[in-house]
Amino acid sequence: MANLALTASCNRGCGYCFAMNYLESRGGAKAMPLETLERALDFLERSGIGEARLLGGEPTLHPHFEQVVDRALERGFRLLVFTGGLIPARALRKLASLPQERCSLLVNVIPPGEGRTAEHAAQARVFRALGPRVVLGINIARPGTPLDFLVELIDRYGLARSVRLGLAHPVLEGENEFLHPRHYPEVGRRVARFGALAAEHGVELVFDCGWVPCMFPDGAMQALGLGPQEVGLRCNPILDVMPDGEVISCFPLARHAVEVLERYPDAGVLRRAFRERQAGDRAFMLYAHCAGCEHRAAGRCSGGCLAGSLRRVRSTPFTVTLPGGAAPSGAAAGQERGRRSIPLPILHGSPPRGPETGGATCV
Amino acid sequence: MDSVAPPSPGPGPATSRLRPAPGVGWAVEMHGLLLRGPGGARTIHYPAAAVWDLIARGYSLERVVALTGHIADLDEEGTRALVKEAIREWVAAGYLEEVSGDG
Repeated sequence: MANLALTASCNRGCGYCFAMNYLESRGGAKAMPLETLERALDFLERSGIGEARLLGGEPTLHPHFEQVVDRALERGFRLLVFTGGLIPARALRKLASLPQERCSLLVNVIPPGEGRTAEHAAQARVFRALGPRVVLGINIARPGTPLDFLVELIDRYGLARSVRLGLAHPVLEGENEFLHPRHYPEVGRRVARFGALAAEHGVELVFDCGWVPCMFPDGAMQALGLGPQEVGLRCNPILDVMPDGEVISCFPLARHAVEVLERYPDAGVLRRAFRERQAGDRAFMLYAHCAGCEHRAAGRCSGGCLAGSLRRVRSTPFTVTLPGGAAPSGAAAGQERGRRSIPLPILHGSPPRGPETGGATCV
Repeated sequence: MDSVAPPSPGPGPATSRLRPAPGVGWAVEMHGLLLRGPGGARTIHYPAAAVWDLIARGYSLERVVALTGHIADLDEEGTRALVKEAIREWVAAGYLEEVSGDG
């Protein structure tokens, strides 16, 4: 799997967006030139990937969207279009003309109470025009993000009986709105309840990256039919190809490393290269308690979204001055030692009692 | 939390200043502190983890010794040895480096 970011333009303004800040900050092409598209399709082809996944920004805003679609289909790819659902009329007509088995859309739905009336109406037009080609997707940026309405939309418009659930992850070095990991258990409970409703209506739940098993109540993962491959071990380089042909691991880690398609024979090799670069960072996990977690110990969880985990990492420069070598001076320390009312700093976990040495252990 | 107080000058004629080596990062974990650096990632257990954390929060070395003594329930001599050994080890492993010149 690899995604082609066709354009840096978007007609929505989602606060949690993990793509736009990076796309807008880049120089170079704002829309993928057709020759770059061909190179990207070559890359997919030699990687044995049969699906061209188009995203943005809003991919349907690409000035030659219809040509992009034609070219990908001519070359034998199936299309998956990630869209915010505000699709220009010409692009919508084009998509509606395609055979259902060659093209589907993942529409990032606007929850009730958010967005403008005109935006809801525009999404409704897309649902009516494309019906079962549409899979609804939602990014959960707040613990109270509603879910039940998704089933209602699916029934009302005859959409695909599948919902893709995403967590709004933080962009490393970014400022997007994201779901703080402290809210994960609440979201896990809500998703478990929603799963029961979805099952009653024959709607399948598909989970995007970064979900962790500890967020779900006991038994919920089994009830939802989820294993570690869906929840716990889903944080891998996705490969997002930018409009100018550069490749990133994923948008939340976009500023971590950038590569170019031509340097790699296929997606497998490129993914490995990203994994190797991230290997040192993988020691960090979403929560302080992950280090003692049974799911991690059993290999069922890798510790959540890497970008989320790395936000816990501090690297603020500091200096420490050592008087006369590496030993602190005794006088002041002795005075402090005698003061029993010194407030302790906030530390997570229980410090051991007793003269344990400061030995460090490799992990 | 990330603000850094200016280091307090240590008494005595010869002083050396240390800072984290480039690329060093750390996070508080259940068992102590996870430290990433040139030697890879390693877990530093309490109470040494507290030493790093306190230094990084800008506490003077004297204060670090005092607080670590409380945390680890050590006497002054033992605490000073612990802090000294921890810092020596971090320098040896490349997590801390000496600030040269006016750097």
